[in-house]
Amino acid sequence: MKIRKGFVSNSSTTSFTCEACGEIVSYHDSCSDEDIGRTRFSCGHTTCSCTEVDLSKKSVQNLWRKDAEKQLREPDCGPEDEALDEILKIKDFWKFVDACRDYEVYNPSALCPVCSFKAFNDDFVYRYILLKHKLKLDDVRKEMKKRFKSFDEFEAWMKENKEE
Amino acid sequence: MKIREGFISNSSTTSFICDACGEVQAFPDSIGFEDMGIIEYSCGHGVCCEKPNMDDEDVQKKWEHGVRQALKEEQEDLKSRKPNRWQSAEDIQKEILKIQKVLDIKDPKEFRANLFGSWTSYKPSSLCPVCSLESINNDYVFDYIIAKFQLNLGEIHKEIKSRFKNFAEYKEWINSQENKDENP
Repeated sequence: MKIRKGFVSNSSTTSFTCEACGEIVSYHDSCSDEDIGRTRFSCGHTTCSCTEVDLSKKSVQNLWRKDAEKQLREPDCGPEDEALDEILKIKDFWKFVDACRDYEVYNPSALCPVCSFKAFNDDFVYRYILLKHKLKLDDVRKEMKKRFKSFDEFEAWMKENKEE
Repeated sequence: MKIREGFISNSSTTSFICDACGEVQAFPDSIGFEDMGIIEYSCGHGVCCEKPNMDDEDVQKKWEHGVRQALKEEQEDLKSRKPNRWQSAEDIQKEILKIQKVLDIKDPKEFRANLFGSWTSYKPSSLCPVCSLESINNDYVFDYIIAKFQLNLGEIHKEIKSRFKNFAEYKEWINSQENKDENP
């Protein structure tokens, strides 16, 4: 995930790249995940509003709860023993979700569109191409500098050679 | 220069991708590129990571030449412009003369001091590190690779999906290939 924070006078903004569609979303730090349509998964992948996790389905709720319980038990994110017991006792799904809000609990990786390969952005494709064709970015950059005198020349070549 | 605008609740932000290094910067709309340290060249490229060294004599010459050329182009444009509700024939003539006055100045320091309006911060494409291919971000390099090998991104997406069952398998392959590169 590409994140860059820029602090400007009294306001700070951040952007992230959706790992499913590649869209760059920029927002003020004060905005919540819900405000900007960001979905985070326990695998570490982050997506924008192109992905929606439909928590109204019973099967999704079961998955969500099982994964959340696992995350809550992790020492870095989870609550103290007593608080954990209290949360785990909650039977109602929505009350359970509310209780999880105080901790770093993300959507289960089983629902992640990147992990299941339903959607992944071009960055993953580029990485694959580099390795498949045994290319190194710096070498290609050097080749470009050698091959073209200027950016205009490069653009003209691209126009001729780019597949529509 | 790639710019994305995002409107979230009552606030709007812009994200910018540097054409030289590929860095993504996000900032509120109320703040201009200059405030963010981004240089916008006349060619349209935006660069955040390097600035032309204006103390260098060669750079100064390139800059002056570029600005003079752009001023002449602007003058030609004004000469062919027809008066309209915003600009009378007299206004246009005044503007042409104003530019000529600056163009007539031979001394570089005086020339610089007499520039007006947006011309004071004008950055000609001759100083752009992207145009000279000194620095180009990965997006351009990938564009080149795709064109060179006549690749089709959609087809490669499909290939990846059919080759690997899931992301974990893909990651494993990537790691193994990278390890091979490091320890051939």
